[in-house]
Amino acid sequence: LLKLISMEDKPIPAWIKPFSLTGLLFLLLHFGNGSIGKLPAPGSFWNPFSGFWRNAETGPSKSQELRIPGLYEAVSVVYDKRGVPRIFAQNAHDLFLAQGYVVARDRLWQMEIQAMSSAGRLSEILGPSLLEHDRNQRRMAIPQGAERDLELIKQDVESWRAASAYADGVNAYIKTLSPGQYPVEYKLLGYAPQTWTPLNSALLIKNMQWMLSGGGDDLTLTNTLAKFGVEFVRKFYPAREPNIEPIIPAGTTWDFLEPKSLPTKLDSIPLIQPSPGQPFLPPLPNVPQAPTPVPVPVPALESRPNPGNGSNNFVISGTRSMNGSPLLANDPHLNLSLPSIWYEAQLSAPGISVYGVTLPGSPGVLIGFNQKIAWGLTNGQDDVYDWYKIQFRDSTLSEYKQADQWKPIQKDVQSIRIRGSATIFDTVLFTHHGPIVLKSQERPLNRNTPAMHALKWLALEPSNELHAILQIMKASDYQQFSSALKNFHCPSQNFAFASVNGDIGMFHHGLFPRKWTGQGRFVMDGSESGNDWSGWVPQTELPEAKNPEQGWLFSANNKPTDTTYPHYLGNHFINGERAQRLSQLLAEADSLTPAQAFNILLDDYDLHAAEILPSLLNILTQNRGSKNQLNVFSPSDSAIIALLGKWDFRHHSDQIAASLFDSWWKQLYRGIWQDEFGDDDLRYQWPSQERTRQLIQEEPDSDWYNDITTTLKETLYFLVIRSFREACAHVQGKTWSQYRPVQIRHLAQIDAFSQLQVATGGCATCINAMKESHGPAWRMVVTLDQQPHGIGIYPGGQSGNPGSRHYDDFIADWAAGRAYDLKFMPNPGDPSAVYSLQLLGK
Amino acid sequence: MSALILFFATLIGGWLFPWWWPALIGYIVGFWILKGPARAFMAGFIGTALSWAALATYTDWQNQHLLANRIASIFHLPGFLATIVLTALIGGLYGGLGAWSGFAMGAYLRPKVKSWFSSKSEI
Repeated sequence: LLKLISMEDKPIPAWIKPFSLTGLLFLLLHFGNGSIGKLPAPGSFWNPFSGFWRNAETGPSKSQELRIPGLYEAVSVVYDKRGVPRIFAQNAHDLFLAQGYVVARDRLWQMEIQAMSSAGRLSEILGPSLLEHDRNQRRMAIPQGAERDLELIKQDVESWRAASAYADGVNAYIKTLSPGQYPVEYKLLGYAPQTWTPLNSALLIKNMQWMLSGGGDDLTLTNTLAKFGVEFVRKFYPAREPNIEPIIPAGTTWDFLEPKSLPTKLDSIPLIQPSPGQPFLPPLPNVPQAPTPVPVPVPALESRPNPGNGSNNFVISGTRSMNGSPLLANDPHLNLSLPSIWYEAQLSAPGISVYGVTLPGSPGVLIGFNQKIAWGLTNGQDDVYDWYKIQFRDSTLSEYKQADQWKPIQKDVQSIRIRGSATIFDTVLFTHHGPIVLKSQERPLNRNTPAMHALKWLALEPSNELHAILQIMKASDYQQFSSALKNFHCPSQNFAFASVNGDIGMFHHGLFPRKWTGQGRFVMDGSESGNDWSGWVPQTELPEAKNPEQGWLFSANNKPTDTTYPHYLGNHFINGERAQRLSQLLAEADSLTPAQAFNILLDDYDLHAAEILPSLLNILTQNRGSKNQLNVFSPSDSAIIALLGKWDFRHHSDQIAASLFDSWWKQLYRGIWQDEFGDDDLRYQWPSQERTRQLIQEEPDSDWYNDITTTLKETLYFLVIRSFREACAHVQGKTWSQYRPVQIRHLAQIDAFSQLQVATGGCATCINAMKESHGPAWRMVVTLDQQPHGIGIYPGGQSGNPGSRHYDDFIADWAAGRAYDLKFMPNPGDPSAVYSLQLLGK
Repeated sequence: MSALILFFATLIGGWLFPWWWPALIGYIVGFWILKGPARAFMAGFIGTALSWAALATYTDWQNQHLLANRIASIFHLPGFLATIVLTALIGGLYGGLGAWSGFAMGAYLRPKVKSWFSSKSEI
């Protein structure tokens, strides 16, 4: 060929140039249409007609009249200046159809990516980097669980009407879109929205169940038990904390106490309760190999529920409020994200008039108020997520042992489609307990996932929470609210309630397996049938309180009851500082105003710091003046000690002392435990902060302070000084908000669409439980005067479009602790309306 | 003059046709009208770059740079102006290459087509 070319002395044929140029043009056009590596398609993305520029909102929204297929009658949607829609429909079907349309108009990409994530279908749209996430979802049987829920939804006329009308509304919106009108994330990631199905709504509820009930410390606690022994576990992970206020006021009597029906005696609460039958031997699970850090996928969705998921709510009766009407406050703490997990809306139709926040993708309002009542949620924290060690007959994994018999393993083959490569098939193994989530030699995505163990999880039992949500929205008094909860099985919640007729209440509600005390705290032997869940706690026996004498009720993910309650609900309750502080403030509260109630939600007083800092400062300065080399303090050290001594224990954003204390405590805590627990903090359950605090205060000479990796004998005094110096070096005079900026990240982890430097107060152990990227995702206070009236705010904005000024316009006010008026509009003609959509049937 | 034609053609056609419209209209104009490869490329480039930049600038101004600044940050560009410039460059490249290759094809095919027509008319 070379020879031929070199011998070629004829001129290049005339056709070469035009055709090669045209070819080049086609090549560029081809690339312009498809993404190159991680970059979006240049032509379709950058052109100003249908590319990202099209997502730049220009000017205020204008009123429109739209024809929506499927509507029975006309619907008015009125927006206020914050972009909050009030939907006025003439029947329930149209209401939910319009809700689907309106929410999709603002949040389509978010709804779909979250449903796809829950379904384990992200690799289908985003490629192989999401395969592990998808496989984990399938292995946990989350998609199957959602399908089972959908069957129940279909059987209930009202739920199905809501879910199917909602889907029709979303699809009506999708059908109006040309590719140029897709949300910008579709353009960046290079895919298109698919048809919305009612299954997606079930998947989103499943996702919420996973977030709030899909975790635990069974494995890490079992590993800790195996390594450190029963005495250690008994001491550092006590089964019940006696001193903390329960949700249902202590002393409440239980009229269903029938000792004969109880699985175990309650007079002694041993750490590990023998199961009925054979003595229980803690099994040693296959400890998963130390997971290497999970590479951040395109949308780095959480691989495990955030252990800090939790919330506050409280209700005050009219006797303790300023205007004599009940007050209800709620701030669910969740991962802070953009677009926000919440969307604010008012829904009005005959029989329904409710205002609050909805989960984009799911019909109804989850937290809010109607014309008669208000309600708020915190997570119940009950243990409905257990692991069983499975004994397989042989390496074919087709049979497992149960009660001295070999039972067949059910196999379910899942196909996972992957964008840009071949479909992968994955076999999920099922025992009667539930699925085997992790096979041997596989890397866990979630730290509490033992290999070759079966998962028993309430979220895999069919339930229809949507039914409960729809009934709650319509309830008008205590009785109706109470019966509305019936179908709310998972995740269990503390439902705070208040009504215009003056009632207040708190329901610790969900579906609870009847467990023997301690059942499911540790990984259990799956072949022993006495370890299986057997039956459910009757709904009439769930903890509940109505109009207590004290005039207030609260919950902060703390234990629901005192020790007299006959049923064992688990041991994941957060018996911490938040609950203690909240009960203190409420006990003091008198003639409370809504603004004061809101300020309680903003309280950033850190009881943990108040408890331990004075002790630490004492230890630090105890030998001052002695010839000890350790405590020769420089002037700057002394200034820091003085600063800490004057600190009021409030995590204000401008406090330097807050940063110093936080860093100091973390270094000290690590200093005490790291030598025992190692660098791998995934394998063991580290002792809690409360217990560590107690150790410092009550056992200053304990052996646990000695670093077993050195030949020296370290003391508490040594650790305190060392961690103090580390903290000083680490903090470098940063204020709390500089040291711990709050990050509100875009769901696809796109920094440019995130707010990474939000300056605000609060701390993990404060009522205002603000952490790096986790905290009060909605704050609401409702006063139940003749008509409920609310104030509230969430850290985000109504629009999911980064090209809209409503994308993140609430964040500054949220960070500053302000709230908006949640104005219930009685009719579409309200003067605060800015623009409207008239939705007409076809 | 041709650049002006292409400016309006890409601006108006942009709303009606897919994003690769500048390449197509550039190709057609290059094929029939334009004289010389450099002039063809420049006409296609300038016409499209200006129309894309004009619309991007207007959009950006109405949007108060909100989205353009965010997109700039994704692509490590200094700011909204750079997003507009990059938009213009990409549009210009497609328009210019379209017109150039259209011209080249025209230069090659036009004589053949003419002779084909003239041979037909002789019959």
